[in-house]
Amino acid sequence: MATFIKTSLVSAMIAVLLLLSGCASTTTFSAYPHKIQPLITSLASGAPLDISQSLVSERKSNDMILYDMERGRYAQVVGNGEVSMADFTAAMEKIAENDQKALVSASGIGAQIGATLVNDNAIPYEGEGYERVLLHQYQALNYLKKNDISGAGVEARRAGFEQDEALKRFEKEVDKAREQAEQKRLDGSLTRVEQSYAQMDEVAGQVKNSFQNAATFYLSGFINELLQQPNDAYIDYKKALEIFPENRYVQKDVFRLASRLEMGEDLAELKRRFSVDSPQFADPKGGGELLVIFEDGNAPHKRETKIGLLLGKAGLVTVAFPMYNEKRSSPLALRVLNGVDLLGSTEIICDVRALAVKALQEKAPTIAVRQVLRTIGKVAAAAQMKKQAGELGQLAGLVWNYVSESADLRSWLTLPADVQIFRIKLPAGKYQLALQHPMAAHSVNTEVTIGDGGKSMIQVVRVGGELYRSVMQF
Amino acid sequence: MKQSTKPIIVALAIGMISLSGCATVQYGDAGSAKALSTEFGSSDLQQIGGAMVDSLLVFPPLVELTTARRPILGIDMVKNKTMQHIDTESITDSIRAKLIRSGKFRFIDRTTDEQTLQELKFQQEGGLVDKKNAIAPGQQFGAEYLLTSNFSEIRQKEGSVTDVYYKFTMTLKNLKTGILEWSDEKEIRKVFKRGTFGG
Repeated sequence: MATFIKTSLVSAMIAVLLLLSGCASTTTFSAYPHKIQPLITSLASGAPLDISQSLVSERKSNDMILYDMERGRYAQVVGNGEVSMADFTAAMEKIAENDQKALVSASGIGAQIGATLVNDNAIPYEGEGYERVLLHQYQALNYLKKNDISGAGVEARRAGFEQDEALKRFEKEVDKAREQAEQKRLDGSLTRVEQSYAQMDEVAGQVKNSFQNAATFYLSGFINELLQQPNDAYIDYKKALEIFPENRYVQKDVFRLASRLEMGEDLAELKRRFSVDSPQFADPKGGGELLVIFEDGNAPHKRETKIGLLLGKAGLVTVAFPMYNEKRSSPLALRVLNGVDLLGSTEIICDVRALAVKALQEKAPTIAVRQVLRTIGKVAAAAQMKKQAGELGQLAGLVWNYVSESADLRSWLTLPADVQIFRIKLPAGKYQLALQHPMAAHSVNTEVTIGDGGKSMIQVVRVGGELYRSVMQF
Repeated sequence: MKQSTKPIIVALAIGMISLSGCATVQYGDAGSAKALSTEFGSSDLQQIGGAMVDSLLVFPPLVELTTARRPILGIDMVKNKTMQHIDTESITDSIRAKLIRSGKFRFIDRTTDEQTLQELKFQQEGGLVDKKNAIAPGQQFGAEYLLTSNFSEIRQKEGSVTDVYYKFTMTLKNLKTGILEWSDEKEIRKVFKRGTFGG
């Protein structure tokens, strides 16, 4: 009998080893952020990577959506639009395929069993809501770079659809915030201005800000303007304003389109809310526009927190939770200069960190439930091993628990920490612009042409001390 | 012996579960080709193009107009307002081809204007073409009517059901008077139900 148990133990260990080696391209046993670090280091140092050689096996793994998004983003930042577009398309196709898959599928069950036995990293990555929105936003940018405005419009609408889905998921929270504001209004603790419905929207906006992306709405508005659909653009800008009411560029655009579309009531409300004189917001005739979209820093990394729990007879067991515990610094603006004259600075329109935290918060209850189930399972297995192989068996079980217990740290890491915008009307002509940022090693010069009645755009990305830019003209 | 049959039963059960549930897509309006997904496919394209042209050709005022002469039409590229990358140029082409084949309209093609200008310039200035035969610029006909179309999509997701509604609108405008002479729309609705069990 003893020989039998020993044989079983040995075969179990071999199985574990096999499992470990088979997971080389997954994150079941190696933390996800390490895998993406080379991409981030390459961006931060300006030393290019051979993109065709990066994440090759990973992009065929269960987490292909995530790796395709990472590589697509990297390619976009370094200016390889073709690879970026192909990778994003692959990620979208896989997401669509997953969305059409049966609710309870054989492969899904397999992953869930894997997750129950090992850890959450065994579940194929499906893409968080905010990541799906950004995926479409970046694909829209890829289309814009190809001057395919109609294609960009398709991606903008897809992003809008994902944002609506997010709103549906969090509708209750928004309603609650509205109710609280309404209660305050009834208490008379709000001033008359605050009692307006616009103010109520603002309350809702503060909640929406954590799961909806104003930068995406704003870009969608810009694309709709390029498509000569000012009504659609107005709706997008208004949604962006609801989420980020303090952004003066968004205020200006909502104001401009409200005037142009003769939205009398809205216009009166806007004037009251933002106490601005209309001349300041008047749309000067002639010349063209410049929009700068600035994506700053890196999205936060989840950290693993291991917590020891005393569970009855089983003694000490370890559970691992993913957490965000980075300190949040306030965003630093990008300065846009024409030669030596300051044209203006960017203002924040999206905090990606907030979106990431909210996504984790949303999943926390499910993670906790799986965690408890897994712990119970592992403890029971250890007890069983003790029964069959004595103390050594139990020890092996507990070691397995410790080794296999690693938190799910997967998330799209080549995303920025925040997104900022700057928009200005300029006389037509060629400009030599300088872009300056306190964290960048040096300022970057770029030439941009402003066409009469046209729109130009610069996407600027900062990673570490490096500033990347790409100029588009429409 | 009894114990060893258990795994087989479990395996059979799993097999049956995985066979029983498949995802389905149905056209809201039955009687059309089998749909594979909620995406806009080639059969939808044919259907929409055909339906639009048929509607235009049988509209009584236009029938009257086209019996005496063949009016000149300009066609604008179909505007894609859906959530899919659709080749709207191809839809535009098939609509135009169908209308030309009906023999009731003539078309102006603005997409080849640049080449036309080049050719005329060559005829006038190149020195190779006989001045008497060379075509002088400024003689082309202008379109009398403009055909424009919008293609939009409304997508709704409720639990495991995705409901997609495509709407194609087409309008014929008299360029002289500004009057809309004809307009019609065609809708396609597709309902996708995510299966409960599957592979």
